[in-house]
Amino acid sequence: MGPLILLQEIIKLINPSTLFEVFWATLLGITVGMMPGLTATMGIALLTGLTFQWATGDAILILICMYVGAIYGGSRSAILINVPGTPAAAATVFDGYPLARSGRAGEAIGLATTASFLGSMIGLFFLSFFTPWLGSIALEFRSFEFFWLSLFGVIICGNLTAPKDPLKGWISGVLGLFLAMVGMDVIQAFPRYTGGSIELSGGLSLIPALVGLYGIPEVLSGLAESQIQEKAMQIKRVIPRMRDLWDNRKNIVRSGIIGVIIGAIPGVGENIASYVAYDFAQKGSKHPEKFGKGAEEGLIAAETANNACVGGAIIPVLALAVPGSPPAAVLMAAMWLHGMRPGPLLMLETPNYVYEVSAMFLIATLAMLVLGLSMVRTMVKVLNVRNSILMPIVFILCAIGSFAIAGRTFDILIMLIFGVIGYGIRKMDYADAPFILGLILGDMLDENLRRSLMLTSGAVMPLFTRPICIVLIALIVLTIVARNAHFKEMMSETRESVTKTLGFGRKKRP
Amino acid sequence: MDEKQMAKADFVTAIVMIVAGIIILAFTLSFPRFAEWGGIYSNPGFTPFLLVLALVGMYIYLLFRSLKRGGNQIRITGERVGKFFRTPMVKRYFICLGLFVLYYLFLGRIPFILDTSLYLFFSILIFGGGKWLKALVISVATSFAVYLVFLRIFLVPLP
Repeated sequence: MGPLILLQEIIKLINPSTLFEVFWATLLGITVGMMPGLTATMGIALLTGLTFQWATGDAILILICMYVGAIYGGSRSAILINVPGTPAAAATVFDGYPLARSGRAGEAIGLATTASFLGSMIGLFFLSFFTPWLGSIALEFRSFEFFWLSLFGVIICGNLTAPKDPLKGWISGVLGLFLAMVGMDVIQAFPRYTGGSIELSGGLSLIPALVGLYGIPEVLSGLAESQIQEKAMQIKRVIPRMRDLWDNRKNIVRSGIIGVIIGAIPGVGENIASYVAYDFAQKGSKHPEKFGKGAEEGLIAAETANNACVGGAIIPVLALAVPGSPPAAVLMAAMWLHGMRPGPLLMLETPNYVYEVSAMFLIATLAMLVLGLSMVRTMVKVLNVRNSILMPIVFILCAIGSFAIAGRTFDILIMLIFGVIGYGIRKMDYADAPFILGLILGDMLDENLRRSLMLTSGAVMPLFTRPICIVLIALIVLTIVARNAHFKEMMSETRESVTKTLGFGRKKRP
Repeated sequence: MDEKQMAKADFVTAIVMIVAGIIILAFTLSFPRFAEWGGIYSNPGFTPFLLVLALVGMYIYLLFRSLKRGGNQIRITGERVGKFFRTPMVKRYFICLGLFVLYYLFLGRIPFILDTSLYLFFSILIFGGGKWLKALVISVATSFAVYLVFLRIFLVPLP
């Protein structure tokens, strides 16, 4: 049934006006992704405000196009000017730029485009056919499980997005959870920490906060920290050779699956996916020494994984109402704004919605491929726009995007405050992804913790003894303990002793 | 920031956040208790209390860690503060913030196009986007374009 419904949803989208919307939104996404400093999260947050008055289907379609386009678009600047357009393209720089320097810029763009397309298709497969299955499991979730799930999301996100200092990642996540408490609480409608402000009684507006967190620090860095902007390189052949892709078939499938898995982990996101896939590609390569010097395998792995991650990140949004990445968090907030209720009940209330989103994702992916392989020379000219002109315009767009949702100038103030917080978070090595995830999941955590305790008249045992709760608690403990130096040492000693006892082990490379 | 600077920044942040956390904890205790809904767990302040407690705990750990790394060796003198504020990057940062705030304050008080044109003009001029004529043309053209595109195509209400 699934593939048939998907096909029906695709057919529904094939009409001139929808295709026009798909193409301009994907093109805008690629442009946003290309511009260093403008991220997918910011692009989606901005467009959420600007498309707020639109029909739900059209608005979500445009946001998905922006998401797919922007994650791919980051590879352009990574390849051409050695600066990742979005964090998702950070691993693309390692081999994309050396390829471009060796005179193969067009080829690198072609490979990145095709790898992104194939990655997206792998993501699409899992999004379409794995989400309903996960959704059916999620139907078993009650308040107890949702409490632990939201806590697990913040902790694992803090752990993985702040690898240098997980403590700061966790602080960032808990701070986000706490700020989500501002406004009327969901059970007794008591206004918390509002200071009597009517504007704050509905809570901190999510989209202005997200626009601020992602947009303002970029504007501040772009204007205050003078950076030398490199000129984009010349481009020749763009269409990739089929043989290059065929030779990388295992790499593509592996990186795509890595991307989907990492995407499905709450809040972790495309940048981690591309790093992990790159690392796996290097370890599995016959020529690991070529990595970092223009290896096609590295470029393909990074680009396949980051776009596969997009599909993966939407899976928990639809099945659990827990975003898999910061851009997916904004997408989820946009769905809420448009009256959609992603989460386990979605499968019961509107079971076809997963396929509707999948169809949108597929159309956006196709548009990305077409636009990615054409108009390359024209589009890279955008990279030559100076920050001192671009960034003030970005600020204006951020202000309009924040204002548009509720028509309140107060939301612009929220955006500015969160912008300053976001700048501080970055400068002091606190990861921003857990903060955002905390903001999004705060209500879920609060409501479900209190509701579950109210259901059991204050008995805490059910919180620790239900099977899914036990799994989630074990994962939380493992996530925290795994960063402990003593634990790492202990694990490595255990591994060595097991290897010696059983008499096998990896042979070291000469 | 290098490790030493980070330790100092962590030290200051930890102290500020611990103090703020304790104040918030005390404030949270003043939230009303809805006895008819159940025990302490049903109070609106229950979850925020636990979260702030966790935050204070983590910041205490961060404070001790920064102390180990010499984060408390901070010497604040007028000369150092002055030097910090004279750094080009810090100056530009505050100018940028100042322009944001001015734009926000004038929004709704003067026409949107004028406010936006003025903000863009001064930003482009100050941050080196071009000479005054170029800045003027870009800022006015962009303001009109933004006004038309968002009002007509996106149907977005503008301030």
